[in-house]
Amino acid sequence: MNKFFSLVKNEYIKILKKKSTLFIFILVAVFAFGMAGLMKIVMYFDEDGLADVKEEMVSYDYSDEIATAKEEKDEKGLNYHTYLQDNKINPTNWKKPLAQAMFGMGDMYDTATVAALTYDGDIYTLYDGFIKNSDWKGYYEFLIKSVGDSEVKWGYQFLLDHDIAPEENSFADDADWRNAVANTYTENTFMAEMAGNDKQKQKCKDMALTAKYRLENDVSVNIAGSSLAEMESGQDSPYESGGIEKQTMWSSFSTSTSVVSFIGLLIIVIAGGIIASEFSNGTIKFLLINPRTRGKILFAKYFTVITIGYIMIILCYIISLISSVIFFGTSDMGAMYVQTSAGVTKHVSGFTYIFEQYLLSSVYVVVMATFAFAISSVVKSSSLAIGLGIFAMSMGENAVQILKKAFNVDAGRYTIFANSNLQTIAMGQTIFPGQTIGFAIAVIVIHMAVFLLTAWDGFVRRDV
Amino acid sequence: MPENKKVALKIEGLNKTLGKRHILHDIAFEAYEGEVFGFLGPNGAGKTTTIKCAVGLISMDSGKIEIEGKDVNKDFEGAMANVGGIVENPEMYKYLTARQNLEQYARMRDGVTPERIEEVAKIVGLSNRIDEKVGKYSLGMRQRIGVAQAILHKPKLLILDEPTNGLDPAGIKELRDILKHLAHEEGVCVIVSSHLMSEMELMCDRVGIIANGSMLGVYTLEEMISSSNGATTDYLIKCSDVNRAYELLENDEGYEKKIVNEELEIVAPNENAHEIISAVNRKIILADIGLYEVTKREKKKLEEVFIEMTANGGDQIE
Repeated sequence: MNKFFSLVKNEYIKILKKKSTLFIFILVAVFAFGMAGLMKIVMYFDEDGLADVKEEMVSYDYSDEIATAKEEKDEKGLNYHTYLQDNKINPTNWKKPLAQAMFGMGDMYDTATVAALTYDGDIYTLYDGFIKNSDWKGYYEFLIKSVGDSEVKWGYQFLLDHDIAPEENSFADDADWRNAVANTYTENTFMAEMAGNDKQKQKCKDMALTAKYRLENDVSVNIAGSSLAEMESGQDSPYESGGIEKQTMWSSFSTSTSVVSFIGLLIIVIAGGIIASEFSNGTIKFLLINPRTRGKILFAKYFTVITIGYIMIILCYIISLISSVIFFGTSDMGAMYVQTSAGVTKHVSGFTYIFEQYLLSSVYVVVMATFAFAISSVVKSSSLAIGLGIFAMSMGENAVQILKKAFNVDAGRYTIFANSNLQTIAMGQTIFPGQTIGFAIAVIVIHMAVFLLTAWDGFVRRDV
Repeated sequence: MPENKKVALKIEGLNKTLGKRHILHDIAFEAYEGEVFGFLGPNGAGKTTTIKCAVGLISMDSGKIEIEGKDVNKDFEGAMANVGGIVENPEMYKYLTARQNLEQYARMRDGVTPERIEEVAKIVGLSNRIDEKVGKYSLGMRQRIGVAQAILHKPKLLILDEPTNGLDPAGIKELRDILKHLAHEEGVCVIVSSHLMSEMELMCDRVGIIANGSMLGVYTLEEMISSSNGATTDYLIKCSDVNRAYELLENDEGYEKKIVNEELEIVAPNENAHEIISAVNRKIILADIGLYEVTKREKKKLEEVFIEMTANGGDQIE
């Protein structure tokens, strides 16, 4: 074992003493660090627009609506908007649905309106009382009574039990996240009960379960749906009614997984050169006349490539975390990833989840690095190995997609390109229908075996 | 000399083909600990190929190679633990210093201490430049560090392929002394390949001659020299009157004499050549003929013997 690690140490020294690799490391570090800064800048501009919206919502002026209603002689609308104006009910106020129900402006998805249907007395007086007295407890109790045995009541009960008053202004910076999440729970549960098809039902149930988990476990920030891959896959973050998503360190930290593909490029450069450069420098003969078998030397080289890859990934993780904290502060460190699918709630800490994402995307990097390594061993030319490696990494997936879309070639599903991006396959976003993680892993294992055997054959049995 | 010595390298029936060309034909020889063995042959005779087979850089079609009794094919690590070498050009990692390069090799071999690295650098005369990057080194300097890495782990078998390439005359002499010291004082088997006989005769105890992929034979240096000299010694005499001197000696027995280019040539049997030439000198001087010069005529040089031996090998391979 010691002998093997001496070989690995040699490889590390050879790589790290090269100025080009040092440059690569610095590049990765700068890139990982810069991501959060870039995110901060983008959000700064977003924030500008948001501030205006917030401003407008808080002191909302219904004069325009009132004028329109007058013009159109819409008495109902006129009364409604005047009521809102008089009671200073901005559009994000919890009282607004009540007012809608009072004036018959709500729809059948609106809990306040639906609850009103079950009330025998005068709904106007009842709701007006809740509004005038800000009697949210009374309102919640009324809702609980009206929904009967439905699961929906759990949400109101939670808010009552924890004495969480609803927001007069949901867009305020100090708005309690639990109100928004409880709303998500009640609305989705309600919709699940109403939904016609099973798929829709399940989706709503899942979202409600996620919200319930967050409330029960006090998870203020849920980073599900915030990573780049998930955004691209169109997987929305769970719908949260009311409130504005807070900008936290997680917004930048969770997008940092995209740096992994950048690391992939750099690892291909190292993998493509690690054997070929021994040939081009003429040092191969001096390497091979030592009392170490070629198999061991080859394995040490491969081990070096892969471990450097993972060291870079871990470095990137740490640097991204640090820079995210620097740019966005340490609040919400306890954020979690909570996602429910088919009734099963997956919940891990944000740190774990993002690390998982790093590891999942690293598989693609490892496969491509192994490919470049094999080429490097066979053709003895680093530039060819690096070129082919980068070409395969950047074009392979596209080529398979184009073949599928343009010529309806289905055979692409068996290629490594359609199967090595475990991160997206894990989310069900596959190029070909019906691809599974198990199948992808099988394809990866077969390809890796072929690459490594090729590398072995090229290195161990070659006349030097 | 070597019968009682330990065999360091043993090659038997080594054959190698590259494509359709049969490069090595049944190469077989042994080299012993404590000798400098010259592996001699013209360019392309198969020297480097044989050496590469011996250190496992290329595969062999048939044959057996043992280093210190260990089969290169069956126990590669065991065999290579006793070998140090330079095959073709001494290429090092140019962006590393000489010390870092040597440390690389130290880690791949067993029992090399940091002190040994210093010691080896001193032996090859690199001490004062050991912390410079190898990229700045001249070929001669690189050759030295090549030797340094080869002897780093005190191998019992040292194989150097054309080691004097790029060395200046002083460097060649130094290297020769180092190699002789290693062989004769430390009991290392040193195998040096070369296409120059003149270089070999200054340091080798035995030479193996290869031409066209076949071994022509293994000879001690004494055998080579006597085969080149034959049974007689030639002397050339310059004097004031060549004809009179010839007449003076005309009736002497036991040696031949003739006049060649205004010089007197005496051909004496080796066993009493010294007596004959001193008698001849005395006669000339006593006859009051001016004796200017007596020189022993070099017969064929070893170089010529070598060229003759390998020439009938004919076409060169590679």
